[in-house]
Amino acid sequence: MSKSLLEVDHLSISFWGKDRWLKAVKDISFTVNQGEIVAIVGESGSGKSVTAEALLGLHQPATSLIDGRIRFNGELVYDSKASHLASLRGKAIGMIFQDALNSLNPVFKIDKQFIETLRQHQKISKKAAKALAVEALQLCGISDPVRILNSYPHELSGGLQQRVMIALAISCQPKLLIGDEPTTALDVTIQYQILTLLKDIQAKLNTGILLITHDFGVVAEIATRVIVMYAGEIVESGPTADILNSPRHPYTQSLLKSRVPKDIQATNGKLTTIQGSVPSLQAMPEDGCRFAPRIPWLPATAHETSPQLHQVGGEHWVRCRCWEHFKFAEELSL
Amino acid sequence: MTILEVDDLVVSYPVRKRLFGADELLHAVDQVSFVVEKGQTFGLVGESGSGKTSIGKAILGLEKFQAGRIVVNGETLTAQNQIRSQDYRRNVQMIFQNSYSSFNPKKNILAILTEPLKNLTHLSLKEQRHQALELLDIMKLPEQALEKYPDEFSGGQLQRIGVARAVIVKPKLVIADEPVSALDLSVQAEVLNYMQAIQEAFKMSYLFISHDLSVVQHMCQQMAIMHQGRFVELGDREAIYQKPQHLYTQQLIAAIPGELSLEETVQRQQIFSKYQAERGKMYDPLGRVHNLKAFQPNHWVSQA
Repeated sequence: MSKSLLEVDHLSISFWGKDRWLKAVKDISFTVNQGEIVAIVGESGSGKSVTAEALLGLHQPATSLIDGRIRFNGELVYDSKASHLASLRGKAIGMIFQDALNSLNPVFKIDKQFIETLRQHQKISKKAAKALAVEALQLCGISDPVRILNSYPHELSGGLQQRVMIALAISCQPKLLIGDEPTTALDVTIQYQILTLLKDIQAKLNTGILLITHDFGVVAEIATRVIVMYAGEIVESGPTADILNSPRHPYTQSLLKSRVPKDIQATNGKLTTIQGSVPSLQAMPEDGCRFAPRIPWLPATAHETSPQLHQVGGEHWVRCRCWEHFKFAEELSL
Repeated sequence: MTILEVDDLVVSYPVRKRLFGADELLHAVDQVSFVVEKGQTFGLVGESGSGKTSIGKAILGLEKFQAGRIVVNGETLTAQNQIRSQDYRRNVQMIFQNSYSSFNPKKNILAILTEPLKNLTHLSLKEQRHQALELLDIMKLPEQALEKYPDEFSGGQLQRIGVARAVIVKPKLVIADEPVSALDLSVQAEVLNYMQAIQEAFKMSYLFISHDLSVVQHMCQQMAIMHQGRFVELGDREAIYQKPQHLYTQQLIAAIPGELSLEETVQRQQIFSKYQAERGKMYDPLGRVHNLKAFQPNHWVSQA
C-alpha cells in the first residue's frame, strides 16, 4: 500500500457574492498517494480549478471561505485555524498551468527564472542553481539545456515552453505536482510528448500528480484514478478503467457518451447532448441531486433527498441512487 | 456542383522588409489546391502555425493572397483582382471560435442576428424578424430570446447563435475556424449537432478548420492534413482517417489520446520512432513538403 501524500477532508470553498456566501465546492474529500496520477474531470463551473487553487493557498482570505482539513505528507497543513499552504507552494507542491507563455516572465531569460525559483526555497549559490536547472531540463527531455537557459520565453515553441514550466515545477523536487489543464492548449503530438513526460517524472521521482482536465482521452492515457466533479460536488470516483468502462452516475455516462466517437462508421449521426446547463453559483440548489434538472425524465423519487456517495464495488463510489434508474432519453423513446 | 475552388493559393507574410531588393517572405500557405462541393463539409486539419487559418482568411478577404485563384460560386478572384462583389460577401460567411467576444454586448439577439441582413440584403424589418425566428426554431429557442442580450445565454447557446448569424443571409459557404475548441464536451456535441441540422436545412457547405482530428472526421466528407503551409494528404474522410498513407498523418492520428490495447500501444511506438527517423524525407531540398501525387481515386499523398 503506497503512502497517502495528500488528504483532502470535507473541503468546502465559498466566495463572497453581493450579499451572501456562494458555495463553489461542497464537501469534497479525496486522497492522492505517492506515485499516483489522479485526474479530476468536469466541465467549466464544476469547481475543479477552484479546488486546485485552494490546495495551493491561492485564494484571498478576505473574499473566500475555505472549510475542511488538508493533510500533506501526514501533517495537518490546513484547517480553519491555520494555513501552512503558502510555505509548501512551489517547494513541496509544484504547479503546472495551462498557458506556459503567460506564466513565464517575458523580460527575463529562462536561467534567471530558475535561479529565482530555486533560491526562494533553498540556500544555494547561483551556480548550483543553474546546475540543478540543467538537470531538471534534461529530465524533461530537453537535449540542449544550456541554449534554452539562455533564451527568452518567446523564443521557444509552445511545447518547449510547457517543458520549461514543468522543469521549473520539478526543480525543487516537489512531492506533489498539480497540473491545471497542462496540455489543453497544445497540439496533439506535443500533448502526447508532455503526457509521456509526466508519466516519466512520476515513475522516476515517485511524484504524486493531481491532474485537472476535461479530456477523457488524457485521463485514459495517464490517470490511475479519476474523480468526476459536477456543480461543486464529487459525483463519482474510482479507478480509471472502472469509470471509463462502467460509468454509473448519469452525468459521467452522459459526458462519456457526448464524445465524438473514435470509430468512423458511427459518424454523421447525432451526438448525445445533455439538456440544460450547469447551474450558476447564484442558482446552485442547497439540497437534492444537483444533476436532477438535467435528466427531467427521471421521477423525483428516483433521487435521494440529500445524496450521499455510495460504494458500488472496489474503490468505485457514486453519489445519489438515481443511477440505478437512469436510462438515456433516446433509449426510453424506443 | 462546386461551391469553392482553390487553385495554387499562396499567402505569404513579409518577415523582413528590405530597402533594396525583394522582401523576405514567409509562405504561410504555399500552393494549395482543393474543391468543396455543394452541401458538403471540407475539413482542414493541422497543428498551430500550419497555415489553416490563413486559407480561411484569404477566402473571406481578411488577408490578401499573393498567387493562385479562388472561385466561389462561379466568381473568380485572382492575385491581381481581389475585389469581392456584394454577392461574394453574402455567399461567404464565418463562424468564430468565441462567439461571445464577437457579439456586441449592448445589442440584443435580434439586432445581432439581423445585422448581416441589414448590410447585405434589402429585407424589411418584418421579414428580417421572420428569418431570425426561423433560425431560433431550429435552435429550439423561444421567441422571447430575440429580446435578450448575449450575457443571458450559456456558452453553447451563444455558439449556436454565432452559427445562426453566419447562415441568416443564406450563404453558399461557411468558414468555421475552430468553432468548438473553446467548448465543454457536452456543449461541443450540441453545437456540432446544430451545425449539421442547419446544413441540412440550408444546404450550404462548410470549410471546417480545426486541430482536432476526431471532430473534423465526424463532420466532413473530404479532408486535408496541413503541415508548414502545404497539404501532406488530401482526400475522402474514410481514406485519410482509416488508411492514412503519409507518415505525418499516421503520427497525428496515433497521438490522439485514449485507452489503447497493448497491440495499439506497440503500434503507436513504432509509428513515432519511424516518424523520428524518417521525418527528414517529408521535405524536398528547399525544405518544402513534397507535392501531392494521386494514390487512389480521391486520395492524394505528398510524395517525392
